[in-house]
Amino acid sequence: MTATLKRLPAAAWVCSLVALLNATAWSVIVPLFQVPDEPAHIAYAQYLAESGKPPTGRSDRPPFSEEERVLVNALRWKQVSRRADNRLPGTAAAHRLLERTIDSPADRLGDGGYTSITNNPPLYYGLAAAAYRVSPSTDLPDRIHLMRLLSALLAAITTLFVFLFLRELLPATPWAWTIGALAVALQPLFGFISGGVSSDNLLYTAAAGVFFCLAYSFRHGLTPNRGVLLGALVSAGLLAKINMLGLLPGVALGLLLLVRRASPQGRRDAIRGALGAAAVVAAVAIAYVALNSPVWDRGTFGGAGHSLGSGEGIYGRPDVTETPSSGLSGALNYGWQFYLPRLPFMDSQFLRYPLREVWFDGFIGNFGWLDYGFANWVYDLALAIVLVLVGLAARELIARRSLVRDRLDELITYSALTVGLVVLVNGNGYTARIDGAGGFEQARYLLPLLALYGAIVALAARGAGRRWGPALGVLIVCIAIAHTAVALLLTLTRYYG
Amino acid sequence: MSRRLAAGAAGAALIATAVLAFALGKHPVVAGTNTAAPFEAAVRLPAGVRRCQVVSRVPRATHVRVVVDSARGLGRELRVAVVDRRGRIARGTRTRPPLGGVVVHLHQRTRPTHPAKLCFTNSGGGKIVLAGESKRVPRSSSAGGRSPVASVVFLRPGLSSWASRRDQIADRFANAQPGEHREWWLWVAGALAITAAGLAFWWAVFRLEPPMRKRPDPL
Repeated sequence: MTATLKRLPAAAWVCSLVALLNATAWSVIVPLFQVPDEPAHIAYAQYLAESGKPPTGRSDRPPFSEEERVLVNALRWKQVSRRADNRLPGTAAAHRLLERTIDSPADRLGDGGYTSITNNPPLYYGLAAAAYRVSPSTDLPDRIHLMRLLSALLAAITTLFVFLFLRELLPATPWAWTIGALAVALQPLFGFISGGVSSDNLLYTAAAGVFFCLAYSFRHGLTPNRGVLLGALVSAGLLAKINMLGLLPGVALGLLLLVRRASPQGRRDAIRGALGAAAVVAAVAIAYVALNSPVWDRGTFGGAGHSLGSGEGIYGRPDVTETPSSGLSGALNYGWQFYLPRLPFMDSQFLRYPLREVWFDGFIGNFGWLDYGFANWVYDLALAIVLVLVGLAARELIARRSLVRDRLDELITYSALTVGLVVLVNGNGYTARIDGAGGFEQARYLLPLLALYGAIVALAARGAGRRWGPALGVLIVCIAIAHTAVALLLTLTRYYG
Repeated sequence: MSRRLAAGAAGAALIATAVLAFALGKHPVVAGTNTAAPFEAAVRLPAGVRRCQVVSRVPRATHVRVVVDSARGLGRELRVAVVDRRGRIARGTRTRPPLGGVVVHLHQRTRPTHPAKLCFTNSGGGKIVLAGESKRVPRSSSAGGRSPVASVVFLRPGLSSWASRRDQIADRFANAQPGEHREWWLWVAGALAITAAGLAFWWAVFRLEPPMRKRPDPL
């Protein structure tokens, strides 16, 4: 696999560079603290950088440092976020006030109080804290921009993994790898999140790496080294955000299938690879738990005194018609309506239809603190385009069904990864709803499946046939460019127009 | 290659059309807001009922936009009046307001003033509910000093495009950035985005590897 990475085609680096440039452009345009939960992510990273340990997350302590709090106020975060018609303060006087705020001495070490992201493990924040520390400027805005650059770098690595995944998935069609990876690099929601300080970015990278590692192992066989790499990627994801737990069943199933399909000569290696992956994940999890509670004074898995997936601290637009009951029927009811149309005998759980308005429209573009997006007709047009692409991808799979049958294990593994994540996000949403939080459901939670998005795009281009496939691919890339360009302009006018 | 070139030309036209349509499209210009977001049903207006709320600052505007959360009755009529200490500044009426964003034309342009009151009346039948949120209001009688406040957006006369307001956008962007050379940051962002798009376009059109023909074609 090391040799594979060394022999990467230029297209892989180009796709990665496109993602880096695009995410950096987003990071410059989106105002500080306007990426979902960014104030809380920054508070975590700053606390870690200043104190050397993750925040305890006690409810009786303020979550932000004085330095962050005054900056948040100077940028009128409360008035601007979630209020689409309110702009950033843009007068010369407002700028002078901002400068005075930054120059005024303020305490950088907060009290590590509870926020909606305190339960996250500290790996991403450790990297962000390193960026915070190496920043030549000690002003918080400059440090935040450097942390955002870290997120952009992670977006580049994510795209690289998606390219490599497509190379293993569609080995006979090199041009399709580029199309799929560019579609991911230019996806506006991905660019928007990658332009902010958010642990989601490391989760996306780790998840894309897991897809690549599994695809590589399905094609070339599972070995101890590959197992350890897979375990390391899973561990990185788990230490970035607990949502990685959703991919664990799929990874476990994938390992089982890899062992089962290994040749008699390679079975011993495959078993050692699977055990290696499990050992790495177990060792990292034990080390984290051992540090988290006794050393860092947090809970067993998350912050102090809050269950995983707790809705406390989550603020969103209330779109719920009623809080689901905490019993099994409430969970099933909510779970069904989370993705599917409500059945006549079910109590209404949402004001909107989540499959379309949360997941699809959100993926096409719902930015800021879910406060702005495209005109309605754009989502309708996008739906038509996506249906055509999915149709072409399905046609390609059906046309090559005998080959698909040969790779059924692989397909089952990717499906299990998808189902696991979808169920976990559903469970998190349910827990948040029971805690009384609204607006938890957001399309960004499905971005760990970006590799599959790239695969659908690449398959769709292939589905147009050998003659027209590359031309369709070019058109898809142009649509992605137009999509992201308008999203950037929309963002510019939302905050500064 | 020729097909990719043709697709690239069509794609370039598509990109240019999308960007130009966005930049040149006309839309109302926001003069100011009362900072309340339309999160929930906030102000209920049964027939004949008048409700007023304080606005800390009224900008120069000719229209007011509110969000109707629910509406019942064919005869409903929403009246909006902007009132300051000296009396009424402007008023407007919208008969049978539909659900969603509703623009009410004021009979005369408001003058900048602060503070002022904004009064809503359902002068017809049925019921109108305006969307807004609970906000801290001075001298509020409700618990915790919070009262439901309707979301209000003041609009300037006429329509304008983003392209025609590019200087204002650039100024606001520069003033919202801390630090030196802040006016350059917008150009840096533009250059990064254009480079990313140009690189993706160039690679897809001119450097995309040709499809392999002689190898077996597994999935």
